[in-house]
Amino acid sequence: MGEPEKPTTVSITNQVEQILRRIGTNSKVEGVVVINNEGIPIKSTLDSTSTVQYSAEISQLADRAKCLVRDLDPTNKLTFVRIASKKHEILVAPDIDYIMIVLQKTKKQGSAED
Amino acid sequence: MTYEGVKNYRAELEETLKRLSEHDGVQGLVVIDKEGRVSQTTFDQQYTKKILSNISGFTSQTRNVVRDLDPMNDLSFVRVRSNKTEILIAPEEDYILVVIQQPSQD
Repeated sequence: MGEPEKPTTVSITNQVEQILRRIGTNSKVEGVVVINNEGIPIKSTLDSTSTVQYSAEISQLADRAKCLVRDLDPTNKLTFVRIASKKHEILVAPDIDYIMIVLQKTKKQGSAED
Repeated sequence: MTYEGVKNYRAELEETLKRLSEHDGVQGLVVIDKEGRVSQTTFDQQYTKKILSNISGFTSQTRNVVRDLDPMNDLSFVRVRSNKTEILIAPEEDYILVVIQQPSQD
C-alpha cells in the first residue's frame, strides 16, 4: 500500500567522478567498471562489449564469494576479492549499492609498488 | 620416483606446510587434490568439510570466469578478503592450496 518503491539509483557525484578518475590515471590500471547491485554497469572505462562481459561475470562471482565467506562464518562479511591471472589482476570491491571492478596489470608487469 | 625419493618429497612437503601453517596470522591451511579430496589439512574435520564444499566450486567458477573473459588467459591466484579473514587460494595443476589467515595489512 502507499507509494510504489523508488528504484535504488547510485548517482555519480563529482567526488565519485574524481575518485574514479584518480584510480583510472594510475599507470597500472587498464580499466574501471562500476556496477549497481543489479549487475548493471553504471560507469566504465572499457569498451561496451568488455563492460557487459565483466559486469555479468564479476557480479555473479562476487555473489558467490559473498556466500563463500558467510558459509564459512555467518558473522563474517566479504570486503574484497583479488583475482590474479597470467595477464592481469581483477580487483573487486563490493558494497551495499554497487560493486567496483578494477582491471590492472599484474605486479610483474607494473613498475614500482603502489 | 624411488622409495627414498617419495619419502624425501613427503617430508619436504610436510615441512613446508608446517612452516606455512605456523606463519604469523595463519589460521590454517588445506590442500585439495585434483580429485577434489582433502589431502592435507590443519583444521578440524567439520571446518575442513565446509572449506572443501565451498572453495573447490568457487575456484572452478573463478577459473571459468577468467577463461570466459579471455580464453588465452588463466587463473593464477585468488584472494578473498573479509572482515575477519583472508582466504588465499593457489590453484595449481595437481592441487589447490588454500590458506586462511588474518586479513593482511595491504
